[in-house]
Amino acid sequence: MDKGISSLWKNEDWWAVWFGFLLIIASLTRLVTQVPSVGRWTDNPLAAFGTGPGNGTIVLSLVVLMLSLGVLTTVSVTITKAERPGRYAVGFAGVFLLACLAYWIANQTNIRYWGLSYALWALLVGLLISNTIGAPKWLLSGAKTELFIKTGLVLLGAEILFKKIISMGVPGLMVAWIVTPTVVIFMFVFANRVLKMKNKKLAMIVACATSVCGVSAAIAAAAACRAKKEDLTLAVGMTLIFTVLMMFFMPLGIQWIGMNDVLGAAWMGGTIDSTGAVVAAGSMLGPVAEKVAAVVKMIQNVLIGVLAFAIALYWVTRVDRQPGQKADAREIWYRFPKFVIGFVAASLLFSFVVVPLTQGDFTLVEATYINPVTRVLRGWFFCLAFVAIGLESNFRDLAGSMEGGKPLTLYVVGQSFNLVLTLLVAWLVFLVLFPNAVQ
Amino acid sequence: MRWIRFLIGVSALSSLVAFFASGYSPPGALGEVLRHNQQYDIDASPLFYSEVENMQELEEDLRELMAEASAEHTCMSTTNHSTIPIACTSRD
Repeated sequence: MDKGISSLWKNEDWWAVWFGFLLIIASLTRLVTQVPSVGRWTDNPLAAFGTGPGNGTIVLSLVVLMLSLGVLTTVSVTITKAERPGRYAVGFAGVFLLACLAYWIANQTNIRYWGLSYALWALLVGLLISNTIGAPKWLLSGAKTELFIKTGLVLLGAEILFKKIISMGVPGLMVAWIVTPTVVIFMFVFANRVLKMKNKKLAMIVACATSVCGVSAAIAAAAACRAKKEDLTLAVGMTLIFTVLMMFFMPLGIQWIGMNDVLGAAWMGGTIDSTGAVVAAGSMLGPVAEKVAAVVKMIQNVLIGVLAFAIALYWVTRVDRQPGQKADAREIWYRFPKFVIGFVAASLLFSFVVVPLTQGDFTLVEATYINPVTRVLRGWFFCLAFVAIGLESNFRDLAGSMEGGKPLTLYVVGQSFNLVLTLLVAWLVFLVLFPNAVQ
Repeated sequence: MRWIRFLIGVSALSSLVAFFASGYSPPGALGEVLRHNQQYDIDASPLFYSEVENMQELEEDLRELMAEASAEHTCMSTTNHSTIPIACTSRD
């Protein structure tokens, strides 16, 4: 590990920070005002590529995006000597095309109603190639999973606006911020003490995915504790399946037992993993419930930054420490995943500099800098990462990570605990302490 | 053999995509959420709150609802103590 000043250009973590901030600055200075993405379509598959600005097709914009991201990341790959630039560039083009395919599938209207996001399709497309014909070497040269994930996470930091946590006052904070850390700690302890899982990293990823916000939290936790790709694949696969199941059954159960809508909405907001599924499930209970569920989930989403920082620190100081080794500040700094600093810094920059500079106008910041630029770029980096993970994974290794079904048991037990605790706290908050918070 | 496996995989993935893209929803209660999503065009796929298209709207509406609830609650408490009921009637 490079410990000197040269780590600033030799360490992939730092490159993720530089790329992330370069793109954020490009957005803030309005150098980049829009990033193309594959469009939504229903019956005509070509419609996904025909809704862009200018000439009416986004194909050219996508090619420019591919070249831009390709050139940008080639710089890092070349300087860190991770790959020969030519080989990487060709491989990156292949991975980018597969990411377009994953987005194209995910953006079909009916598939979006099912809640099946691009992460699932990107993984499946990658897994299909690696487990049948095997991912060719030239394609694998462009599959730089860690770089894509870390850069995506730094960009995700821009979307985490701290003032969002007060959107619902004390009631929202209590449901989202008391239960979540409790469930993470419970699941991690349960995995270690009761299930005796050997893979602590997988336990932490599953715990974060279950209690915070599914796939995004799994990515952040996996990167913060430097987990293996198979661990992330397993956690993401489980969370995606259970999210759809919970979206289908929770609102029905709530309606069937005649639970108070606001209580039910807060319960779903605190437990269903992904925000889209929360909105859909909340909407089943009515317009007020939809809003409550979505905002509770949003407040919980903000926790992802704090959690990533805490996990990184815990791993460096406790889990990765050799017996008898002193964890002094310098050693902690050397081993701390630097992109987490970029992730938190991006969040602080937007929360405490960019938003106040616009007189606290969240709408303006989101509509100008985040939604059209950093959010779309973050989506691309995550989609590239999932394609890369799929290309580098095989079912035999995935089966090996299952430890006889322990991660699944952990998910089921943890989610059950989450359901009970969230219901209890939501009941206490919305029916006992603040019964008139929302009407 | 590898290419046969690949073709089988492609067929399986294509079938999966075709099934979900067809607009089919399971009968009865099982497909209720899906039919609701189809009817009101609710995108259930966003992973993070910033990906929800109308998040800003949902957030602002909830803030208004909470402010209304708070005002109503304050008003009701004041009315119960027979002080200034005018504020309550004017709001309605």
